[in-house]
Amino acid sequence: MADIPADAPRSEDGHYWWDGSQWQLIDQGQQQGQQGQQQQAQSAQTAQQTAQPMTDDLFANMMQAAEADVQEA
Amino acid sequence: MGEVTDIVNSGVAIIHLLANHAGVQTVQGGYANGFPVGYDGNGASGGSFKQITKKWKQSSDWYDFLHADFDFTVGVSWLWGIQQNGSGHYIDQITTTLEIGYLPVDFSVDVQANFPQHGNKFGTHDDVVAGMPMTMAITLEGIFGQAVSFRQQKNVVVKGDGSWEWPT
Repeated sequence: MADIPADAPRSEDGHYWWDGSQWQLIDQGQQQGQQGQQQQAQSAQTAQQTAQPMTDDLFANMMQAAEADVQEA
Repeated sequence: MGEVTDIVNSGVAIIHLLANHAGVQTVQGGYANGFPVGYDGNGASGGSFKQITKKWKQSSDWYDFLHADFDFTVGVSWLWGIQQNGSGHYIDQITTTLEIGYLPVDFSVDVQANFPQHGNKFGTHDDVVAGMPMTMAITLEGIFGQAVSFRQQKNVVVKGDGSWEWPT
């Protein structure tokens, strides 16, 4: 099944998309898959956008969060 | 038995371990101890090994560019409950351990323990419990977009009764 272009017009009920010549039925699994991919891409993009230069302070905070309590083996 | 005047360390003063993604290297190894002054541990009896560990571990999602993944464990092990002529709780074979679960290629972990020549006396006059303090310095260095480093130094104490102190 062809991937739905991101800018393809969709019907008001959300079940069809316009391929330029006719309406195509949107498969539910296909729709969810595309949404999942879009969410992952957005997460990666957000992470990149919010990334700031790593400093020793940020690094120390990261280490503190990763530190476990002392344990007897 | 005469009075125990002092607790001394006749072993090593420094243990230094260095690790990267390929493994752990012992730069300076050996053992420290805590016995009464003038006693070298010859004829000592009893004792049990104990190890305490502290772990740093982080694993993040593939799209998370804000965190580095690593997994390493620093520890101290020692033999406690050693008796001299049926008396006391002394310590021997105090050493530092470092285990690497995972480190990025550009990261290194440096662990250095410094031991004094003199330890501490706990317990009672008739049943001395030896204590040996050490300064434990843990340094993580790496390239995370740019060079970063983290250093933690703690005063750790291990004792002849099996107890220990490792401040948070």
